[in-house]
Amino acid sequence: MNPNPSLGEFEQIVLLAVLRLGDEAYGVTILAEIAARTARNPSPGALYTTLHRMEDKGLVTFRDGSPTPERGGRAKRFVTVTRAGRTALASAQSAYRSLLEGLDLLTTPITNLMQPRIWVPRPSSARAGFNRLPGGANA
Amino acid sequence: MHKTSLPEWLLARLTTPDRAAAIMGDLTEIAQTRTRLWFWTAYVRTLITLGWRTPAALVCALVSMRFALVIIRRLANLMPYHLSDAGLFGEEDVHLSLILWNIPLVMAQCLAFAAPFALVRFGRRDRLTRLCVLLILVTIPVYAPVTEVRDMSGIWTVFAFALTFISPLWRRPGIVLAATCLTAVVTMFVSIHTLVGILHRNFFTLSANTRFTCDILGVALAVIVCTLLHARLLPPLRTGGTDAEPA
Repeated sequence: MNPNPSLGEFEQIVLLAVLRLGDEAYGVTILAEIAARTARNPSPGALYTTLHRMEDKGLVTFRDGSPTPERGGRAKRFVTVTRAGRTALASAQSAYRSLLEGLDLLTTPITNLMQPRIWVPRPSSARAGFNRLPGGANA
Repeated sequence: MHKTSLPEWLLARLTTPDRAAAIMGDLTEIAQTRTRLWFWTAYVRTLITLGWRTPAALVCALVSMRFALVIIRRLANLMPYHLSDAGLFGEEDVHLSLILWNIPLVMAQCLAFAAPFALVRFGRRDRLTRLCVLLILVTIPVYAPVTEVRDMSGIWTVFAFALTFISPLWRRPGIVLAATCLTAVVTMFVSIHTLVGILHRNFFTLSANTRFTCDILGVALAVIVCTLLHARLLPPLRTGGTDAEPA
C-alpha cells in the first residue's frame, strides 16, 4: 500500500477544483470551474476517468444527491476530497513550491508567462566564442 | 427512479451502473446549453476513454502470444540437448524432469498473453501485473540451453506458484491468473479437439490459421474471465486515511 500516492498534473487540477467548489462539486461544475480557472476545456471522459481513478486510490469519495428533471431524473454524484487526497495534494504542491523557491516566476505577471516563446537566434559574436582557444591563442 | 437507456446501459458495461448514471446525467445537463451533436460526441469520447483499454489489451495479448510462439519454435529448434537428457534428476528420473519442464513451459506460454493483457488493461502497479512479471522471470529460464537450468526453472515455478497461494497478498492475483490461464488452455484444447473431430484431420495437419483462430478464441474467453474476476477479487488497494472531510 502506498501511503502517499503521487499525483499527475490533471489530478491536482481536479482536486483543487473540487476543493474550491466545496459541497457543489460534481461533474458539470468541476468541468466549468476548470474551464474558467485554467482556460482548458477538458473532455468529460478525461474528467470521469480521473475521478474514478482517484476514487479507487481513496483520494475522493462520492455521495449521491437527489434526482433532478434536467438530468433526466438522474442523481448528481457530488465529489468530496478525502484526508488522503488533501495530504497527497499538499505534498505535490509543496514539491512544486520547493522547486519554485528562488525563481521569481510568480512575481512575473501570469499573462507574460502564458505568452508563446519565440526562438531568437544568438548573435554570431556569441557563437564564435565557443571556437576560441583558452588564453586567446587564436585571437 | 429513471429508466435506463441503451447508451447508459452501454456505459455501465465499462464502469459501474451508478457511475454510468452520473455520467449520463452530467452530459444531459450540459447538453441543455449545447447541441445534440455535442452530446453524442461527448458520449462517444467518454465511451472510448473508459473502454479503450480492454480491446487494446486484447490486441497486445494476441500479438505478444503470436510472437512468443514464433520465438519459442525458434528456440526449440536451437536447443542443443534432447528433452530426455539427464539433468538435475539423473538418468533414472528423466520423467520427473519432463513433468517439471512442462509446468514452466505452459506457464510461460500463458504468461505470453496474460502479462501484456494485465499490463495494458490494469496498469503496471496492479497486483496481477506484478505477479505476471515475477512469474515470467521465474519461468523464462525454461528456454535456457542448459538442462540443469531448465530443471531449476521447473522447481522454481512450482515453488513460486505454491508461495503465491500461501501468501495472503498474492493469493487473489494468483487465483485470477490461474483461472485466466486455465480458461485459455481448456478453450484452446476443446476448440482444437472439436475442429479435429469436425474436419476429420490430425492435429498436426491443421493449418496455422485454424490453430491461431482457436488461440484467439481461448485468449478472448480468458480475458473476459480475467476482467470479471479482477473486478470481483482485486479491488484497488486504497491509501491510508480515507475518511471523507468536508472541503
